Formats: sequence, C-alpha cells, structure tokens
Amino acid sequence: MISADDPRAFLPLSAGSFHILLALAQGERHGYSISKEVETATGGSVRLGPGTLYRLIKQMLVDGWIAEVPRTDPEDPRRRLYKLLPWGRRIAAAEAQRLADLVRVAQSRALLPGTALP
Amino acid sequence: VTILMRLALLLCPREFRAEYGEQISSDAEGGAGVACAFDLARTGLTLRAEAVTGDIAIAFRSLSKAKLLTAVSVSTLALAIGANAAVFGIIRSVVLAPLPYNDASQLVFLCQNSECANQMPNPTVGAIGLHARTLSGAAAFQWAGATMIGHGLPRALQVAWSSWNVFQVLGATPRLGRFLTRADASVNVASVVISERLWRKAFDSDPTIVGRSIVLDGRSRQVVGVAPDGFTMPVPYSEIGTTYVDAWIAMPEKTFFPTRNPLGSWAFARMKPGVAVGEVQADLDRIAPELQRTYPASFLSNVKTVRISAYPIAKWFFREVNVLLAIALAAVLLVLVIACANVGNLLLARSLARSGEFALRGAIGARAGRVATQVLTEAALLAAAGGVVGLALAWLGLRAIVHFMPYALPRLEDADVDARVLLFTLGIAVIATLAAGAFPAFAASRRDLASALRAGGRDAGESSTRAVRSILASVEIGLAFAVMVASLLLVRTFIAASSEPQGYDPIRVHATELSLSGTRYRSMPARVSLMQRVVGQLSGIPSVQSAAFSRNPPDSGSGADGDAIRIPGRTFPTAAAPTADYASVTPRYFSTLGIPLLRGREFGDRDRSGSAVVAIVNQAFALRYFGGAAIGQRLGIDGISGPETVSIVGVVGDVRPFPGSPMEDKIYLPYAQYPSDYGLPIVKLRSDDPAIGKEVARAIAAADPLQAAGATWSYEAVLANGLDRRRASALLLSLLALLALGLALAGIYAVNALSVEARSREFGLRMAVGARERDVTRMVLRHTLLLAVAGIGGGAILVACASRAFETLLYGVSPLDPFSIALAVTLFLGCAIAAAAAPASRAARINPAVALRAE
Repeated sequence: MISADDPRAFLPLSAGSFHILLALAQGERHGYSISKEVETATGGSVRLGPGTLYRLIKQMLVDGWIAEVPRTDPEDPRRRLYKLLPWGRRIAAAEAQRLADLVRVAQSRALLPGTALP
Repeated sequence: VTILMRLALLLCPREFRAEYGEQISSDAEGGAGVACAFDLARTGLTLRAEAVTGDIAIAFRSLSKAKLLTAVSVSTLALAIGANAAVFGIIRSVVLAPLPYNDASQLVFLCQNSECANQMPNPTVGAIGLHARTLSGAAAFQWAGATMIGHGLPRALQVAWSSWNVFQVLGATPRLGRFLTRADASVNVASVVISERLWRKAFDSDPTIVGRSIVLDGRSRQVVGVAPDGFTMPVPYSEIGTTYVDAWIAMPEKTFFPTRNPLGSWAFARMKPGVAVGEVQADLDRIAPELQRTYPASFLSNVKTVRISAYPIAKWFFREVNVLLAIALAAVLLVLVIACANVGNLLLARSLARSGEFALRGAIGARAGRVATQVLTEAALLAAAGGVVGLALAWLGLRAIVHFMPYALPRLEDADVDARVLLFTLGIAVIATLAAGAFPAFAASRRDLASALRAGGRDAGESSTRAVRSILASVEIGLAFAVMVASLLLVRTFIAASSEPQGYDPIRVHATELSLSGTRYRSMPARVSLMQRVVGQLSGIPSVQSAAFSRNPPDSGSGADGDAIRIPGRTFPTAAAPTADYASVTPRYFSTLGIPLLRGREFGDRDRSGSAVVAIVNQAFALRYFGGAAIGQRLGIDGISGPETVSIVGVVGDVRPFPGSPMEDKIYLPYAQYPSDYGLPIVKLRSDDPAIGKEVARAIAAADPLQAAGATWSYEAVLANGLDRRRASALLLSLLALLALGLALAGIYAVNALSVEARSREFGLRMAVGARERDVTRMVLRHTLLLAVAGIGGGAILVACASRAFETLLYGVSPLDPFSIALAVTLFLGCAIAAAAAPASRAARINPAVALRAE
C-alpha cells in the first residue's frame, strides 16, 4: 500500500509533466524557457504547446509541486518565473528512478544497443 | 497565426485566460506555429468540458441530498413539459404534417359567395380554369355513392365524380397505372381510378388490376389506375366524417354533377408558381362578371351578383381545429410558466438557505459567475430529468388520447412522440432551465459574505427576494386562474351541447347509407317502388319496431341545402328571401325518430304520386312565416316542386341537424311524391340487436339483389362521437387547469412556509411585545389574500383579452360567463387560504423565547 505522502503515488507521470519537472530541476525558468529547454533536451522530438504547458503548470502550482517566484523576468515583465519545490523534486526523482529500473530490465533483455546477455 | 492564437485563447475558460494569457502571448512573440494554436484550442475545450462535468457532478451530489426539492421540482417540470410535448405531438400530426398533395400551399378552395360546399357547378369550375390567368388548373368533384357488383357481395363505394384533371391539380403520383386524362372525360369512355384501399380490400392487391373492368351502378368501367394510400379529397374535416374515396370517375367537361347529392361538391384550384392568394382573388374578381354573362346556367339562379373567392386549402381545412389547438398550446405554455415559476421559487429559497455556503465560496476566491453556473446547472439537471419523465408521460398521454377519442381531431391517429417532438421537448427543457434558474442564479451570485455571516447564514437577502417570490406566486395564481376560467367555460359548453334536446329520440335508432344504382333507378316510380319494398323488408325484421326512409335525417353528415322557398301572395326582400332545407320522407318517419307531431297529420299511404301534393313543416318554419297557423297554407320549393305549390298538412317539432347547431327551418315532402336517389333507411328497434347491420343488408338485398347497402350506424354512438371534440377540449383544459391550480397552490404554500420560517424572529418579537396569536395568523393570511387578489385580478384581465378568440370554441355560454368566473374566484380564494393555513398556524405557534434565543 502506497500512502499519499509517498511520491510513488503519483507515478507514472505524463511525459509533459516529467519534462517540465526536468527543465525546472536546473533552476528557475519561465514558461517559454521551459518549452525551449524541453525541445533542446529531446532534440526537438517533444514540443509542449502553450495550452498543454500552462495547463500542467497550473495543475502543478495547485498541487504544490512547483511555485511561482515573486519576481518577473527582467527582459519581459509579462513572463513569470517558476521554481521546483522539494515535493516536486521528490516526485521527479521517483519517476527518474522508476524509468532507470525499467531501463535496467530492458538492458538485461538485450533491448538496448551495446548490451548483451551475460 | 497571431489571430489564430488569439481565437484559441478565447476558447479557454476566463480564469485560465486571466492567469496565463499574457505569458502565452508573450511566448508566441518568440515564434508560434499553427500547432501551438491547435494545442491551445484543444486545451481550452478540455478545460471547459472538465468544468461542466465537474458542475454536473456537484449539482448531482447536492440535489441528491435535497430529495424533497428534487422530487417536487422534477415531477412539476415533468407534468408541464409532458403536457407541452403531448400538445405539440398532436399539433404536429394534425396541423403540421403535410397534406397528401405536392406543394399543398399552392392549392386554394374556390367558393361562390363565401359558401364552399355545393356552390360551384362543374362547368363553372371548368370555365374558371380556362379564363383565370393566375391559376394553372381548376378542378371539382362531388361525393356520390355507387354499388359495385361482380366481386363477391355487392359493395357500397364512396365515389368522387371528378373533373378529369383532379389528380393533376391536387398533385399526386399513381400507385399503379395512370390517373385520369382528358380522354377519360368523354361520354363514350368508361374508365375509373380506384383507391389503394379498395384495391387491397376487394382485389387482394392484384397487380394485374389495371386494364380489368369493374361494374359500377350497372355500368362496366375499366380500371386505369390505383391512387396511393392517404390520397383523398381536400374536404374540410368539419363538413363530413369520412373523407376517403374508393373510386374516381371523370365527368364530361360541360356536364353538371349527376345529382344534388347532400354530401356536397367541392371546387379547388392550383395557383401558378409565385402567385399569391391576393392576386388570384383579384383575377377571380375580374373574370366573375364575365363568366356569369357567358355561362348564366352555371351559376345559382337565386344569386344576383356572383363573387368567387379563393381560400388557401390548409387554412380552410384547419379553421376550426386551429383555434382549439392554439388554446391548448397557450394553456400548456401557461402551465409551463407556472411550473418554472414554482421551481424557480424553490431554487431561490434553496439558494437563500445556502447563502452562507455561497458567500464562503466567494470569499475563498470563487467568482460570482461560478456560483451562478452552479445554480443554473442544478436547474438544467432538474429540467433534463423532468424532460425525460415528461416525454414518457407525453407518450402515454398521446396513446390514451388516440385510443379513447380518435374522432376528436382529424388525422389524430398518427400522433406520436417522434424526432420533432423530441427536439421541441429539448427546446422546452432549455427554456425551463433558463426560466427557473436565471433569477436564483443571479440572486445567489450577489450574496456578500459580510451580510451572510452577520445573519448567521439563515436569512440573508430575505427581504430583497421575498418580494420577487411573492410576485412569482401572484403571477402563478393569475395564469392558473385564466386556465381555470377557460376550462370551466369549455365544461359548460360540453354540458350545454350534450344536454340540449336534439328534437328526436336517438335511443335504439339505426341508419344505413343507401345510394340507388344510377341507371336502374333513374325513374321516379322505380325509386318509389324500391323504397316501399325496402321499408317493407325492414319492418319484417323481428327486432324492428318501425322503419322509414329519409333523404337527409339528422346527423347523417348532409349539410342543409337551403332551398329557395316561394309563398304565394307574399314577397320578400332579396336579403331575407326564405330558404329551408327539404327532406323527402316515407310514412312513419316521424314516429320512427320520435319527432312529435304538433298539429295536423303525418304522411300516409294516400300521399302518393298523382294525389294532391302536400308538405309538413317544422315549428320554426311555421312560426317564422305563418305565425304558427301553417296548416292549409301553400308553398313552392325552387327546383323541387317546380311551378306548382304544395299544401301544408302538418307541423312537427324542430330537429337539430347535428349536436351543437341551431334548429333550422325544415320542410318535409312525401317520398312517394318527391323521391330522391340517395338517403338513409332508418329503423327503431324494440330491443338491442347486435346483428342489426347484417339484417338490414339482408333486407335491402331481398328488396333488390343488385343494390348494395352502406354502413349501418347507431344514432346513440354518432351523437356521442359528435361530442368527442367538445369532450376532448373540456377534458384537456380541465386537467391542465387542475394542474395549474395545484402548482399555484404549491407556490403559495412554499412562499408562506419559507417566509414564516425566515421571519420567525420578527414574529417572536411581535408576540413578545404583545401581539396575540390571532394577529400573527391574520398577518400571514392577509399577505396571502393580497397575493391571491392581485393574481386573480391579473388573470381576469387575461381572460377578458382572450375572450374574443375563445368565443368560437364556446356554445351556449358567454366567454365572460359570470357563473364560471365567480366559481373560479371562489375556488382560488378558498384554496389560497387553505394553502396558507398551515404556515399561518405555524407562525402563531412560534415561541417568542425560542425564536429570540436563536439570535
């Protein structure tokens, strides 16, 4: 039984949520910067549209995974900055761990290049 | 793309837009594609759908906790919505369903001097079709009976003697073969088009029927085509009961209709495309004098100036039905308004009780709009449930109406809940949602936290909405009062129509349709001899007490012809030229029907061809023209008695031609002296005889094996059916009125109960400073009386405004009948006080100490 204060209760994360958490793990970012970072990190294969992005941000704000930083982007005052909260970091870590475990299983089945059966 | 982004942003809920709109537009300046706009739009729709689903879930939970309110509201709305759906179902089937003709809106009736039946001889119609520039064709037909032999038993058919172009003008496609053509109108061609109904019943849908011959009234005719089911002649429903036709026979073009058949002849025309009725009328006004000069014989001799009028066929067809259905629709809509006011009142009271909750939600950030949406969603859920139950009620109700009162309206048998009724019900439910939910939603959204919390969340805003709820209750009373007066008037109409004396005794009297075969009974002596044999055979049936024959007995569907009368030595102004309906009857006609002989004698066997010609008149005629002393006076009937005059030998009682019609002047002639080729044998039975129809048919066959008898019907049944429409309208409006009264009383009760509860501190205070129980009771009752009187006053104004439109539905009672209005006023005042009694006594029992401690 997983209790509600265990981050594993929220796994698996949707791809979009995980990417946003990953982007914010490096530090404070505004929405536009998050979507650019996701695009760079995935080599352009994942693009977060504005609707998807801000809907997820809104939900994460409500759930207390991330928080708004009380100062705005100096270049464009309309943009607001977001940061990862400890609770959000634990969830992101738990998701990363879950994926790592899966990758290990995949390696053991020779599903990844450069690996072989022992 | 910028525009697309902006549009997509508009799809998002307002909250989301306010929160992130600036960032999104700022981001988009860094470059955004169509994919971005698409993503934003999809998100917006998803968010909105989630909000609605959430609202519905919340509303469902909150309503399922308020079981009483939900039950009362759903059943109230179900009854109101069901009544609307049922009435719309009837209207759809009776009025809105298309007439069985192509472009029926282009068809007009042609009428002479505002009379439409029996006024347009065939040659006149042919001439109109030839000369009118606005018409693409004009046609006429006449009902007649005919006997078909050679396919089983002789069969009595309803035949339409028609101008050859009747199908072209009406517009239809044959089921088999072809319709009539100009060639069929030649005297040497004997062709016939039969109905699909006859084809099925008499020929087992034989596919080779076209080309075969049938024998009608002794003449062999070739079947050239079969008319499709549902195709019938455009005859106003009120004129005759059955409008089906078995066979169409083309008339030679310049010939008159074969007989002056009491079932009547009708003329109609098709307007050219794009022509309006007004233009047709102008065209007819132009050619009428010319036609009258050119074809003087084609017009009625007693009419000096001929005016030919065109009436749209649908308007004429439904002229009586429309008023009734309009009243019914108005009544059900009023009931819907009352129901919505009631449910609105309940929701308002509920939103007051929840003002604390709403205020709190407002305080923690819910926008006013959210709270309003929540209340509206609850109203929509109630209306949806009411709609579903209402549809089921409408379906049951329509079944019941069609089953128990099939003759109440024409084309009623097809009434059902179909797609259009569903759509209508959906619309009604949406209207009900808005009507019942709008004000409570508005009121709920304006709660402010401070006043709600100050009042302990119990009666915040009470005073501001109490006035609104009182007005709603008052409006309910007014509308219900109007419906009640209307229903009482219709009930009195029904009572007046069903209890008025018909002038004859219908008990155990049966009549049979009989048309004499044309060629074999052309001569007068042949008719007289046949009728003597028929009456003789009928008298021989053991259960028959007496038998007679009449050309047009009451309730036989034959309209009054209004034959022109001459009285020697008297002259009348043209406008007041005497007319009367004539009937040729055999001896014992009056005793068979129980019509009292007032003076003189009945017809006897001595009144035969060759003896002195005589007549019997009814009392109305005797009084009008002879001051009652009619015996021995003489009169002539144009077209019947020729130049000679007949001597009046008797005066009989007045007879109503059909229920709900006034007594008319009537002249009776001995059948032996003036035999008609159409009429009804009538028998009076000693005791009930279920096989009388067969025995009559056997008796007529014994008198002439080649002569078919039509249907035999009972006077008692026909009189009851004739009252169907009045019974249906009285019943319908009574049910609606009771429903409206019940809903209005529930409204009064709710207003008082809630107001007593909310004002308990005030009442407690009053009693603490010396008010007695009686004073408090009186306060509540006075408020109720005020509501009731205001409502009744408004309702009375409504009744007065609607009285003229309503008058056409009434019979024997004035639209402002004091008895009905007084009864309704008494009923409403009494019921209003009764509905307020319980809350009033609760107010009187308030314990001042308890009420004030709640502070």
